[in-house]
Amino acid sequence: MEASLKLLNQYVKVDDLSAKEIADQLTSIGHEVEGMHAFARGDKLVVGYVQEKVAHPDSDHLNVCQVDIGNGQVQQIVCGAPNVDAGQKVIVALPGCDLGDGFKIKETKIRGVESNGMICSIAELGIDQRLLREEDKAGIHVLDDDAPVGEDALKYMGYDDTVLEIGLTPNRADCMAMISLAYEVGALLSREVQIPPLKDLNEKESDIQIDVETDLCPFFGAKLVKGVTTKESPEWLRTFLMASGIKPINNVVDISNFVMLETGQPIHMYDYDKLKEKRFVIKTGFHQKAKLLDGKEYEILPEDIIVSTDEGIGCVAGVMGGDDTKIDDNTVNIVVEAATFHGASLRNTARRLNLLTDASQHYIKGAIDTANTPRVLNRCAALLQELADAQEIYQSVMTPYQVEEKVITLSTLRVNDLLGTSIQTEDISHILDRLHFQYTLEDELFHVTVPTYRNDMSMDADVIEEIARMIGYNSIPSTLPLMEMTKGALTPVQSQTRWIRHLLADLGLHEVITYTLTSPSMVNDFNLFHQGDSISLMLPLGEERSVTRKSLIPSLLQAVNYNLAHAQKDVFIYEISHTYSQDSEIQNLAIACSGMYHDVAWQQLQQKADFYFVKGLVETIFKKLGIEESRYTLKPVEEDNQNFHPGRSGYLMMGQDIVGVIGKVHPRLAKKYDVKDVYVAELNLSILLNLKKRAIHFTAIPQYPAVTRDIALVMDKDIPVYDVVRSICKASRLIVDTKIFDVYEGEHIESGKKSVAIALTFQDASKTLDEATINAAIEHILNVVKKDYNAHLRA
Amino acid sequence: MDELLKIKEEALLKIQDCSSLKELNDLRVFYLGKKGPMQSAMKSMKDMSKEERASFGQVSNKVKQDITQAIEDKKKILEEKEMLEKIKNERIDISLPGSHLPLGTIHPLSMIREELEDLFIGMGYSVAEGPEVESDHFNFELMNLPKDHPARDMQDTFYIDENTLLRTHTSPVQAHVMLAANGKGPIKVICPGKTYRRDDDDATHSHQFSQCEGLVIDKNITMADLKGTLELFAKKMFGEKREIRLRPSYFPFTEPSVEVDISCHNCNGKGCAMCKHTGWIEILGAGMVNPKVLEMCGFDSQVYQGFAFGIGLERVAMLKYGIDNIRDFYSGDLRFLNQFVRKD
Repeated sequence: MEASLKLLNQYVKVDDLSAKEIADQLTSIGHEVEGMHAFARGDKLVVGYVQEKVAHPDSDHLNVCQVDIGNGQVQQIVCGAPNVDAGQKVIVALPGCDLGDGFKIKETKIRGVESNGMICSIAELGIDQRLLREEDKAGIHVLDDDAPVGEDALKYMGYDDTVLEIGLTPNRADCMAMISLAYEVGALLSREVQIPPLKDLNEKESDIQIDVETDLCPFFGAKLVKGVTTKESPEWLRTFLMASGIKPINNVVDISNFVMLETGQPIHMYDYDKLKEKRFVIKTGFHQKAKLLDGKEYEILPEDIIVSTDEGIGCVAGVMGGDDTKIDDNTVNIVVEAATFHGASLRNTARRLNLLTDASQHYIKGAIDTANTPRVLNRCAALLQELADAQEIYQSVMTPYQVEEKVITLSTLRVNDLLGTSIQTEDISHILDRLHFQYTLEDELFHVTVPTYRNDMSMDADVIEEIARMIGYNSIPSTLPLMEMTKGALTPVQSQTRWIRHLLADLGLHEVITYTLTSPSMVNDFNLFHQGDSISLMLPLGEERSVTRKSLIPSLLQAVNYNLAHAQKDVFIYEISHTYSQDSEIQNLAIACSGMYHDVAWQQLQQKADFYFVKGLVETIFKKLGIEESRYTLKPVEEDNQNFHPGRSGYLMMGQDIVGVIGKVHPRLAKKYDVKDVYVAELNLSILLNLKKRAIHFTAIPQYPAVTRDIALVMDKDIPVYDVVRSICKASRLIVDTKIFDVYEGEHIESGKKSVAIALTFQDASKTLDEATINAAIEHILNVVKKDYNAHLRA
Repeated sequence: MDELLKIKEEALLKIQDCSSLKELNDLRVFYLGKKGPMQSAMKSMKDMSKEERASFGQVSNKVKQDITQAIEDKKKILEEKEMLEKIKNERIDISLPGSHLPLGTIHPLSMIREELEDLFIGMGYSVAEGPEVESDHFNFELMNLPKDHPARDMQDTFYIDENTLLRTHTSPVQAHVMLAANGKGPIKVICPGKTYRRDDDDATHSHQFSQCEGLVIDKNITMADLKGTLELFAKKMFGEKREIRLRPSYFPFTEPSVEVDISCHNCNGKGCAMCKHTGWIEILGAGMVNPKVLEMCGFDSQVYQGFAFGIGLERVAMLKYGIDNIRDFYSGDLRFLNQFVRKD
């Protein structure tokens, strides 16, 4: 909200404080001042008197004016405004005056004639153009005849105001009312708050009838005021409204806006003479089109709260009045409405009609002080009498309303227990006094009666917050919880997730975090783990972020693409994230590798991303997690797999379950994501991190030496080497390690065959192996591979 | 006898002149070997008297010893020389780049998350994560945000259906933890994770972001405890010199509620562009758990009380590292990630 300090000063004295001081104070009690600005700008603006006006010799619209600016000084000013005339009191911007946006007044010559200043219009003072009248923009502003020449013009006009931009928290919408805001400042500074007194208006009996036929209107009050004269509001009222961001219209409308500004109670006015039947029925159930006072037609639905007059739409409650009953320049007799409507219901109406008016905001935010309504109606009528010459004021007609007295009990002990402070009972009493909270006190137990405008208070914690605000949050001491010891630790899954994150980073990969929401055109790509349908948003921001992803690979490919597009050609990234579908939540790990991993070219040290590189990463992760090789196998993907290159990809299997995949992105998808050779892996961590793992068990270091023998086997090209090695290991219990050191096809090898060179390491824990034993073992191994794979020793 | 001394003299001279280990070895073989001049001289011993023979023997032993010693000494010198020669030939250009191994990075949001986890784990907190696809009940109702609550306007939500949504904050994890505790304290937990709001992405808004919630519940937890805890947090994340300032605020799930500012780490509170010349930076929201929330989550609010806080991880990272575009976190740009290669 925008709060004028001059208006605030009407209710609580703050004009002895700087705007910055007031802003800091408000911020310190929870009303964050997010910014402030001068209502009008310009520093060297004075009241001037136009002594003489003569036409500019070289122009058909300019005039040369001699302007008295006080202290006997007379400045010559060339003025282009059509309404300037001798004998006027005007606003003069003196040389050096900064009118903002780089517009600085200088001593200059206009078409050869010296001009030392500018005579200003209201529109040139930096006030929001939206708030101004046409005449404010069309010509210079003429001040009253009694304006003191030479004085500060803004001060004289009451334009020397500062506007605070306050970010009210949703619970304190009551502070949209200047009086509530004044109570806050008054409580903090221990200052008196002045509220306009009730006026005796010599009221007559009213013939207005009210029937409330819905629960959504807890209170309705109406007051008839006759004989008003519609005209322009006095300057002070216009200025306050403008400083509060409200455009002045005429005295009657301005009064309703001003009363809402002052009290937080929205006011609506009906033209009494346009009502055939002087009766207001508040009900729902209308379903029709209705023209409202903005001249537009709206569709009313049965759930909308309507103030019905003559069986039509008198007013869409709290939102906007109907066209038939609206006041206009000819209105003489007015019915003033001040009511309470159900905020949530009104919100739906206001939103649907796209009419989130200021008035509706007060209802929506729950800022209405129903108990204060009689006062509000009195204030309205008093102002109509004062400013619109109202002739007759009638008694308010109001539906019965029982003010519910809210009493909250709390003890000094409880206050200190919650805040960790040591506030004394009398300090609490003093704070409650400052806040204008009524209370009784017995044995350090307070029974606090909450003021009716504080709709936010319902329990002791609320009152304690008030006390804390007033002592200042910064005077609360700083301690650490004194409590029973608790175990602080990550869960096993959380720990393992961290290990993987750190392992991959230490191995040279970069962790990325990408968006959960993806496009339906990508959501099924690479998905292996989710069986259920994807989850779609009801109202997404756009198609490309409308469903939750199932696989992380599409996001990683987008990141690869992004980097390629930004000249980063070697991309090694991974992401750990939860993925969601209709029936499951899974923690995924995905890796994407493209380009050169390790490149020290001048040393001929290079490692390119390929299948074996990614496989190695996955095996390293498994090793770190303690998942033994015997627990998983790698099964080639289907020949017709659409996501992964069928010749270069495999599923990681545990029994019948796919727990991951390692492979090359299918060329078709590489094209879709606009990437080149990318090798990827994706693991289902929800399974892998929950496996039962063997504890670390130390095996004694062997006493006897190991012996290594190299063999080269020739076999069919398509035989998986892994199978052969497994056979070899099974064939001799003496083998403790195998290492493949060459795989060769080509010259000297029959076509369709390959030669695989393997180093076999033999060891016996109980003795030194002799030559004969090793030879026998090799002999046996060769027989086995001959039998199983038709593999033979390379000649 | 003179002959021996002559041999010695000659040998020592030759050893001294010798310039390679090979030459030295040849001299050793010549003078101390079976066919050398010493052996020839020894042949005359058989014609000597017993006394003469004894003294000759003594002299010849001494000569052998001296020659051996001289060879040994020379060998050391020559070896040293040869080594120095070798070193000279092995010289490389150490200015050429090291065969560096690639060094990856942990995402800055993970870095902040882990730093927070470690800080709070050290104080006895456990780490709880909840579902990102959450029910309206947990995300809003249990957080004291009933359907018509005006504060729901603050939360622009991605709904999946009427009752399901992408969580808008990590606060619902509080409710999961409290309900699992069955009304029995103490609870000491932090809840880091991803959150979502229906915001268009720009430099300061992201439809996906991360938070870390904290919750402590026991019988005598005070607002002073909250303040002390947050002070520790501020000092850990932004340096020992940091101070915090609490301002009253409003969150439906806490009462009293506070907004927490830290003294600007960029200017030490003097005022700069980063803190908009106020010396303070808004860093997180917190408060004492609203008794209504306690009750809804199965705790007796007459017995238990506690505090909760919610930290925006992007905000912490942006302030700490001077990042000014929130989208950088989610682009996967290596030029961004590579700046977080070092330990912090």
